[in-house]
Amino acid sequence: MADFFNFLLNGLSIGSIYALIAVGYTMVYGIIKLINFAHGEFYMFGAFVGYTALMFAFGVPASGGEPGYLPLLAAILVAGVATAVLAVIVERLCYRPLRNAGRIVALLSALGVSLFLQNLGQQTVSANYRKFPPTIADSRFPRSEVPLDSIQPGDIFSRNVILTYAVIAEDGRPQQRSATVALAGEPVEAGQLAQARALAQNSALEAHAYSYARVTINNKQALIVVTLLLVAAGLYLLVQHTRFGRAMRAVSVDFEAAQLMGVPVDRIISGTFFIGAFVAGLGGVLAGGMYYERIDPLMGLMPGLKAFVAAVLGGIGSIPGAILGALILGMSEKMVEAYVSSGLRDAFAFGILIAVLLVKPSGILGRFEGEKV
Amino acid sequence: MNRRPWIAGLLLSAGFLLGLAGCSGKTKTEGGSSVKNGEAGPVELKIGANLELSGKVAGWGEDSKKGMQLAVDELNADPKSGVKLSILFEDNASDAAKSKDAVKKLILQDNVNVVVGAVASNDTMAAMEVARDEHIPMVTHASTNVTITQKGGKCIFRICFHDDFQGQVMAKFAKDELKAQSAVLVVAKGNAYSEGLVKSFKEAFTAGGGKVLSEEAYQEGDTDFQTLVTKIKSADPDVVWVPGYYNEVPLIIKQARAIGFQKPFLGGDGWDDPKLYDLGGADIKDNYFCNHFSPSSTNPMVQTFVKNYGAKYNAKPGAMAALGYDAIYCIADAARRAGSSDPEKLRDAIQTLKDVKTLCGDVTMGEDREVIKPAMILKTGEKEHVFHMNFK
Repeated sequence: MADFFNFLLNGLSIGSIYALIAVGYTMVYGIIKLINFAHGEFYMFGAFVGYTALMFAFGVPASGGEPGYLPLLAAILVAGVATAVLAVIVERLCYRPLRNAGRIVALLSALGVSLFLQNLGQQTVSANYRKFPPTIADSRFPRSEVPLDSIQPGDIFSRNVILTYAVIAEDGRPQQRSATVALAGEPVEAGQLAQARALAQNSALEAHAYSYARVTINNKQALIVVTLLLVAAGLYLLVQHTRFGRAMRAVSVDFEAAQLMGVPVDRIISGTFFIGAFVAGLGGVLAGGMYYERIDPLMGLMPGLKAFVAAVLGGIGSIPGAILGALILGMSEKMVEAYVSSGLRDAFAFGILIAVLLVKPSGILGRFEGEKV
Repeated sequence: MNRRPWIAGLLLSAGFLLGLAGCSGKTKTEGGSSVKNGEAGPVELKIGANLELSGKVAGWGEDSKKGMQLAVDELNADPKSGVKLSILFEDNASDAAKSKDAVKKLILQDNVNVVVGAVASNDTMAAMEVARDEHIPMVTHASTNVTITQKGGKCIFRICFHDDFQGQVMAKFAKDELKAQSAVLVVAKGNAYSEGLVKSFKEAFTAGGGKVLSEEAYQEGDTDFQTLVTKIKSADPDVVWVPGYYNEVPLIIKQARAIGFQKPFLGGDGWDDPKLYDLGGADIKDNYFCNHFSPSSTNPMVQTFVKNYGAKYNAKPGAMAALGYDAIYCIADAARRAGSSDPEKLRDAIQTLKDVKTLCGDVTMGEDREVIKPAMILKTGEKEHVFHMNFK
């Protein structure tokens, strides 16, 4: 039963990652009816900008110690803005000239941009996976501290007791490590205990021994979920309570009428791309970078596709729909992996999409709109 | 507007025709002047290497290339070697379809006498059809999927141990050395190499009285293994068998350690790359895998190789470099005995390789075009593997 909640939390975090990409998909579709297939590449681009920022502006090597929240925050902002600027340029060069050429043409252009960015990445930084520099130290909650001094050889604990300590990494920063003190149900070995005490003694930061609850959430997962909440709240305020948001909604409802009423349509569309890509870029740093610590030029492909599915599932064009769709997709994926078969995950994820669309073609929160003629 | 597709179509077909003409022309001229060898002089041999020089396992392809190039340079510099080699490297981008194209180009356009490669089993299996149909001998130095030599026919050879052997060795190691009673198996879905190793480990481990608690899968390219490692932790096995590649394995180990799972992970030669430590960091320590080669071996031939390799590339050789090097030496041995670069004679000479001294043990080719050599068990350390034991 405890595992069920662990799977659910895993689904929530991966769903949040999809959601950070899906909101951009859905906003762009909502406003110009374009499925921007290059959006997954914005996520990738953001991760690479964050990588560059951490490596060169903050001097964090891939095998260094954790520099903490401030460099991470700076990397997120830099990556978000850089990605947003890229998106505005892409819109200006590749989509705007085709705005009146029909939706299929714009869609093909988007596919082209997607492939172009993937291949450009492979050519310039190579197709190899690379380690993202460390950001913040891992920790899990809830946990309870077991004072190291109180443990005696032969003691038996019902949970693993794990020591968290730190060594000085090659860049001079402390790097968090962990070591086993006791395995659940097995008597504490004197040698292992002595080793743990020595590690704690020499630790660069204060060392702690913890035993963890059966259901835990990782600080990085929590950070991703919190970011999604902030993004969702920010977008709600933007769309519902600002002039820009009102203009967005106007363009979405009727492009030409909005233009006739004096809405600066081009600027609103650029702004939409800017915001959507900003969120995708910061998602890239948070997920591919901070959480998984592995990036490559094709890293946007699968999450991009899943986010697109999530946006359609939730009702493309609707921001709450995209978030809801992403969370449902993330959780159902993990449930399939956990209880059905880990190999069938993607098949089931897309199966769910088909099932929902058969019952409700406009998606969960979408409204059916007749084709405008 | 209407005319444009026309023009494009015309240009395209013209390009095709030109390309075709170019191809056939080249084959003819080069076919006419195919390498002939005098009785006395060294055997001139054109080797085509089909390698993963880019894409997801580019690290192995690059290392193989370095090892092969070193062997070619050494043999050409040695007047007593009896061979004069030229080697062409073709990049298959770690992609099965491109691997087939690469070997097609090497054989049909470049007229090589023998093909060496590829690294990944999927890439070798796609390419070997071409070698089989064109009757050009092909030696894979590193693809370990069992079916390769069975399906490949009489032209396809392998000079490393195969997956059944790796699975059997590691199952025995888990039982005898680590005293493991239970295991969880983790397969990289759709990867022939990983599936082969999981199958052979399972057979050997259960035959020895071990218990397989569950079988899990992941997809290559995945980054999120939280659910997988949660399931592993709940099953609580003595060892986890995860014979995948170095791209995902370190993430699996890292995420398992992060949720407090502390038992050892075991793997195959797919772990052998510095990326394992780059991506996994300090969590990689204290796990085991079997490999073809260890640079810390005391064999003097290995030590010379490590020294020369270091001088040329300023790096420590991995198994891929050693196997690539060995493959070239095996081919050179065969060419010397065949006394000719004729693919048919070369094939027969490779079939009869006997006691060729190589970095990864003595090579004798069996009837089934396989060699059997001892495996080395390596233990992962802080930043690199250390030799643990020889195991048969």
